[in-house]
Amino acid sequence: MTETKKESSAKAILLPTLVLFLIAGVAALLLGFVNDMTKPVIARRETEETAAAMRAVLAAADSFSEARHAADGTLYYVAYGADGNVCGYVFTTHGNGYGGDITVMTGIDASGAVTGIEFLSIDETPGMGMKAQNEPFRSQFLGKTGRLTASKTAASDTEIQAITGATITSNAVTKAVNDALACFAQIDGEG
Amino acid sequence: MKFYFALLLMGLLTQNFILSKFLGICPFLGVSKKLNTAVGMSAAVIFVMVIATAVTYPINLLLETNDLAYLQTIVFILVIAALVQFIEMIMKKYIKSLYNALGIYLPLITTNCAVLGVVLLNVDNGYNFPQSLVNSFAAGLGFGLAMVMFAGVRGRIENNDIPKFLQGLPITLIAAALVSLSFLGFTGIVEGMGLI
Amino acid sequence: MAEKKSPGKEFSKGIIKQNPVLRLMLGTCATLAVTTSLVNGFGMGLSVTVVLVCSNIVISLLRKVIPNKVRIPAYILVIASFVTLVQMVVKAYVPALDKSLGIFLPLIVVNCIILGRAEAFAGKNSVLASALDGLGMGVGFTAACCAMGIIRELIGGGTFMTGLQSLLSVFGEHVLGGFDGVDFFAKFPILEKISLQPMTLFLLPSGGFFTFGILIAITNRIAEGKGEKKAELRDCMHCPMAAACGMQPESCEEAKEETA
Repeated sequence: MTETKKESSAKAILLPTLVLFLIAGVAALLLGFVNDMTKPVIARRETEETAAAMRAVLAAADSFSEARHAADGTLYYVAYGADGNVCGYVFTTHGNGYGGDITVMTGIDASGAVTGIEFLSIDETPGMGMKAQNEPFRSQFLGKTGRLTASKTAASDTEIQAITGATITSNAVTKAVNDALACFAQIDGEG
Repeated sequence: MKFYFALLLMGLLTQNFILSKFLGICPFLGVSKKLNTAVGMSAAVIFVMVIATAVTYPINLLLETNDLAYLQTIVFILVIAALVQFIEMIMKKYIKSLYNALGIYLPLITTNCAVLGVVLLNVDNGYNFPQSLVNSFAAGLGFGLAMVMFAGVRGRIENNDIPKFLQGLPITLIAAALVSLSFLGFTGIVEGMGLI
Repeated sequence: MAEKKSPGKEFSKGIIKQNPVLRLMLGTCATLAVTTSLVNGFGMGLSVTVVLVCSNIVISLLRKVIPNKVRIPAYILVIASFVTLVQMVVKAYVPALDKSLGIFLPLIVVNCIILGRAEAFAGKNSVLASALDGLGMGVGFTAACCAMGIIRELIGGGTFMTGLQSLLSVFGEHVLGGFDGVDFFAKFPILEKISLQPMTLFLLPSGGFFTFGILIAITNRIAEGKGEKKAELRDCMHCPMAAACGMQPESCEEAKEETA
């Protein structure tokens, strides 16, 4: 540093502290303000996304209500048809993909068959694992019941044809759907 | 226990910070010329990553309980920057030998995206305290593995006859591409061993 | 700076001559990580440009107020605030971009371009010059990200500009006639008939390193033709820790002489 006169040590400590404190204060105020503005937008968007995904996986449903699993407290949704009877359930389950967590929303009708799956979060390799979001992989799950496995050939009814080059992703999605089916079996068994 | 082992394997091989997550590329390209600097840098990174995780974890709890999660980025980077300075001062004063070995790398780490990256990833993945610590340690180890391996690779490049337009950085990056490609071979190892 | 540059030059130097990514090797992590598609690369570039221009302006405004001793923490504070701001806005209005950038959005904080420009330029120059410098560097960064994105998306996935609508969704539905990119393999089935397949490798991390290496080789070749130096890893002059670093003392001094 090239200060010609030597500053007193108190000033040398206080001034930088004060300046930093002021900048931090202004920054905090500004951020708090913007957060107040964007927070409701983010929250609204998230509920809209969830609602849209629920409608997509269980088109037959008219309304949904939240419920919690008695045993482990997992959140799921009970779907009611236009006549007011329970017409299915929607579960949100996870699988461990190549790029991290894959969150899948699965709709299951009252008979225990999958009515649709929707990806809430997926971060796989583009062109490989990301193909899970597209057909024909996705529609394979429609109407499936019981315990599923991902395989190369998909010979039997409970097998899902894995995506070429993305076995981990295929397994992760299948696992998530299996978890949803297992949840359904438990709830169905109780009720 | 199984999960901790899985975290270690992921950090080292399948989710390697440098080779598959692209975090910490600057030191990877800049400091990997010689083996001893690569080792020193990696040791400093492991050290700071683990300590930063230990410090930011309770702070994050505090932020989240007060509904201030949006301040994560700004708080974490300031805490890390202050922490690194603080460690440097303490080392310089009390642990001279360690300072001589790691000291010059510490300032470089403040603005290293690997450190902030691991802290943010821990939060994103919802790891608890011991899991976060192990994950940070594993990420640091993975960083070190890539650095040390690449220092070896670069040693070989130096002695080769390389087309003029590829000399220097381009060939280094292409070599990095090949090392990264070889790590693809580990894909599925964690799932295959039934650890997750 | 010894010579006074015209405003136009402050702006244009960052785009080609001192391109932060391809010539100065700054901000490489983000460039490599998110450029799996043109839209992602552009989104990242735009976010960085916004942060860079804003932080350059504020730091330049405060340059006489901030004591030299605490300038780095002060810069980090200003930059982190703007990054958080951008993060919140993106999350609220362009959620698809937030999802695809992931943790690299908050990591803009440690993007060396921004702290580097604050230290090397905005802390010493007028507001207008700093803003133009930030804009130029940001455009240069965006251009490099877009170039990486186009190459990797085209060769790796056989697509061009996919996900465009999710980026434009902030302006409403069906902007630009709902154009959402081209999938060449879906459009021209003949490609598959002649056993052509996209080289997925380019979308993987490995392909990122490779594309980046080739791009730098090309820019080096062009720079050489103009009698300029090759891009090297001597970012010391932009590294805020140059004084403490001591890693490459010779190149540091060389760099300092250049700026002087």
